[in-house]
Amino acid sequence: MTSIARGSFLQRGGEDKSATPAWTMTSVGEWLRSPVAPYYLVLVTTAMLTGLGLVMVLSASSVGSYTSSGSSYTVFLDQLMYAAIGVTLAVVGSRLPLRWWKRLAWPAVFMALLLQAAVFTPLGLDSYQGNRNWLSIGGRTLQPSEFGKIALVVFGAAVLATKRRVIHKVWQASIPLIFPVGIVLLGLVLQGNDLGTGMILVAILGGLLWAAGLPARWFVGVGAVAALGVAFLAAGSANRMQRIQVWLGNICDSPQVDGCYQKVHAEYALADGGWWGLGLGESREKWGILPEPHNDFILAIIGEELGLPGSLSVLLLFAVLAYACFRIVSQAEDMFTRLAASGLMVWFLAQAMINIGSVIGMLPIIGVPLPLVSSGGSALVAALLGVGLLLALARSLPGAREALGGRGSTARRTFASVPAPAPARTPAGRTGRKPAATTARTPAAARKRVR
Amino acid sequence: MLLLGCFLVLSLFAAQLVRLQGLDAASVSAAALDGRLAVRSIPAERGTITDVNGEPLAISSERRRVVADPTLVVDYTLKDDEGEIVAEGFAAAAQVVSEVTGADRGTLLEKLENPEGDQYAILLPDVSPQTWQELRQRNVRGLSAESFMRRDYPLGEAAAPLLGWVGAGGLPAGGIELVKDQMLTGTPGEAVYEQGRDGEMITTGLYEEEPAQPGEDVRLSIDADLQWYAFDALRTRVKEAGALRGYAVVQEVETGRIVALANYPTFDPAEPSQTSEEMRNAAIEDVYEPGSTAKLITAAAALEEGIVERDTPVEVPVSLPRAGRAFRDVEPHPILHLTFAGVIARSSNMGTILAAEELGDQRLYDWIRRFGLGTPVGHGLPGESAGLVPEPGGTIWSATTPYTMMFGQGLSGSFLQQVGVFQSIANDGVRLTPSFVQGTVDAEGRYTETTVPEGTRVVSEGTAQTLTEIMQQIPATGGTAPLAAVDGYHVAGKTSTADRIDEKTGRYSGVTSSFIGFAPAEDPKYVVGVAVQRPTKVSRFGGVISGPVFASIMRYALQKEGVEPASTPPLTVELEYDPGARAPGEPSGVTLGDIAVKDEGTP
Repeated sequence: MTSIARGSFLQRGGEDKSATPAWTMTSVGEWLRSPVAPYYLVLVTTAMLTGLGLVMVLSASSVGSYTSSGSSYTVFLDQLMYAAIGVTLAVVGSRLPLRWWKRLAWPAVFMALLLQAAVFTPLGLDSYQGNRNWLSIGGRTLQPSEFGKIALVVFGAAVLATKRRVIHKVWQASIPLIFPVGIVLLGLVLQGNDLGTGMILVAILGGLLWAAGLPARWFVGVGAVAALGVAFLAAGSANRMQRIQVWLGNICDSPQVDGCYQKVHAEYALADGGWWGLGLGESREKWGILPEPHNDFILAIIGEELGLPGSLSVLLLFAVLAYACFRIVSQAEDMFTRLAASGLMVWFLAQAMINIGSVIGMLPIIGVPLPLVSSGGSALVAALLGVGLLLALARSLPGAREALGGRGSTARRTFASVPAPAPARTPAGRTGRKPAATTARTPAAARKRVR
Repeated sequence: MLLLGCFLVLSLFAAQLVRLQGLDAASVSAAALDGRLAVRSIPAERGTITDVNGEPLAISSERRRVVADPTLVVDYTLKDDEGEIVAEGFAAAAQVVSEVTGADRGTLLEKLENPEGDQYAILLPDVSPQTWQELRQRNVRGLSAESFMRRDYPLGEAAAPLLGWVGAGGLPAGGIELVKDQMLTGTPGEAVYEQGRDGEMITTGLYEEEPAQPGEDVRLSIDADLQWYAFDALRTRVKEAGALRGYAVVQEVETGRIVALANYPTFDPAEPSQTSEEMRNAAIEDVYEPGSTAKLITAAAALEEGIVERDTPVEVPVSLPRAGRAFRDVEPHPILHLTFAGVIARSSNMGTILAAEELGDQRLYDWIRRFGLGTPVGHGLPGESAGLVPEPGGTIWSATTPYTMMFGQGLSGSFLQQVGVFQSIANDGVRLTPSFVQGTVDAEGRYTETTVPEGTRVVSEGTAQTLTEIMQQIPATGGTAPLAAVDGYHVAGKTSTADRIDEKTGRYSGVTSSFIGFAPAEDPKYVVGVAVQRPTKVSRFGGVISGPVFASIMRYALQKEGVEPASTPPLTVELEYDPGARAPGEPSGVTLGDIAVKDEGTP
């Protein structure tokens, strides 16, 4: 699916040259090297993940939603509403100049800390599946740790960017990102018993510092400490130890074995799907059998209904997203862009991997949602906000600004940045301007920038 | 490096997905399916039992039992249109169920609070599928329904002993339900389906159904109207007479088919809590001493063997000493001059002995057996007894046995055996096995009529005719049972007032008062039998107790069938003779008194 979408861009490129047909290795490679490629890759992959997510949330939640509320659409309509909010924020965020993003760094992180702390006030929701990271505001629930992730990325990138010359000094790198912000946020999240989110936060911090250029020796030391910390936290909970046992112990012969229920039923779902899937809406495991079918285990339902093409597409989309992030990081001339893109990449990819690894039995079941796909309002809104930042970063790349900016009306620009499948857009207004942009990005020029 | 790491991990994941979804999928998927599969039996609809006109006598309908899981109902909340919570838990569920079904809210609440099991409470044992659909739409948490088939008996207690009933487990108990069970029971089907966590069917999942084969319908020879009428008439009489119980039967003479078979007291097939004692079919299962109706057998034997003729004069003494015992008639009388017809019509015990004692033990026994006593009738209904006819020289044979057997005491038989004697005579001497089944309707709706069995000739047409002539004198004005007469028709019949052996003590106590007869006498259509056990009020004589019931049922049957009333005056036969009159065919001077059969001591 991704290649088709990419192909449509290519076809346009081919028209521009008005000679060679599309779909040659050269033309694909050439387009990928263009400075606008990251922007469109982010746009298309995130749009497809979000779209797939909505469809699958509807399918996976329909049965459970009907049982608990009498309507198959209750969960889905909620999700749709959050998607609309998230997309709006993403559009706004993508158009927001990067200096504004930097300015938001401090307020955002304070807000995040405040909300995270509010979990322990009467506003906090009682334990949900052993997890206390919820706020109840105006009849709706909010998971502040999701917004903590984006806040941490923006804050970390902004702070570290200003310190790029002193980054080799570890205390410069650590204050104030690790001490106190990172530690406090992490502490609050772990206090709320949400190990999964805690791991993502640690990964984001690590990714930021790595991208900032903190000497590798520190990672070895801190990595060891972190591993010990995780081991300590895991050993401190019978539930977590059981999950690790289930993961590594090879004990799950049947769903009746203690602790194996979810793992085995996720495998059942994937196996039921087989090569080509049972068909959209046909999942069996969503009939109350597999817990959290529309949430942490949505990949199992995707695999069940859409088969291997469906589940591999999700992997491929995240791979492309990773590639796009990497391109932003490597093409960026500005330290903030590079760091923020790294942070976002680590966030999305680490979370996706932990989720997918849990579902397919290659990791213990940690319980994080699949970014952009799983149901959950806070997670979706925060992730789409992250997509907005990523698009803003992609737009700021040298060459991209010229290629993307200043064409057409504001309305068209806004429309163009809405995460929607690319072929839907009219190619009309573009053909005229394209040659100018194309000439600016010869392969040689692009490579030079990468360095 | 970070990117390469990502790609590496994602490639590993992809490989795992290919393993899970592709390479290893088949066996895992089979295990998954196995865990979800459930089997539900589809009950086969039991065939309908109808009367001869197709009116249902026993019919199955699908019903629902509403059950609740109280552990789930506790969490139920009832909201109004604005979403405000109106009631919660048991109270809310009871309110909704009460609104939909009209059941008492307090009772429902109590059932929820005192459930049969931890997660099982029967709220409504029997509602229609429509009611359940309405209730289901209210979406009350924890409520579900079990499907079952209910057997309805439109005639209720009027036909209950005959039809039997189907118990809670779907097993037949007694009557036609038991006898025709194999035919009525279809083959249950089976549905294999995938079920979700709460046992609900996964609609998109596998579903294989082997449909149930409904049972065949059975059409009885019973006429529902007549059955009800007979039951009602009998019930009234048994109550009036303060009797133990009674039976009534209507049988078609030429086919042997039973058109009505009523018992009273009876039972309500819809009432599940009854003892088997209450639910027996007494008309089929009871065995009693027939009394005077059995004189017909003696008379037929004597006529067939050429010992007597219809008008043979018999001098009936005041008392008749035989086997060391003085036999008398029911009412004391001086010496009577009765023809043989008169002996039977007046039901004289002594006359019968005098006329037939020449038969001898063995011939009498053979004739009794030939009429079907001592052998099960073979109609197939459960619980039938052969009765007991003492064999000459057997263990229960005594010196008085041959004499008492002539007038129907000292031997026992079932109601239908005795009715069978009358059917044989009414049918020109050919006995037919009584049957209840007119035909069957198979699953495709094809009706197959049951063939009428070949009969057995018991007596000659002439003997049958003579006996009919004699019996016409009984239910007539001036006869011994005027109350059994049916206006407009010529009826032949016989009363009986037999000493009855008490079932508990084994001694004689009370009587069995019966009347069995057939009409129209010229071309008999129906045999009707009525027997009342141990009447305590009104009278003890069969003609008085059972005669009117006989007449009432017979009249209804004949009129319902549209049988033409008789156009000729009733046949009269001389019952008495003048002992001084000249004996026909004898030398002059020989009077009837001279040639009359008299007590000349034990032959």
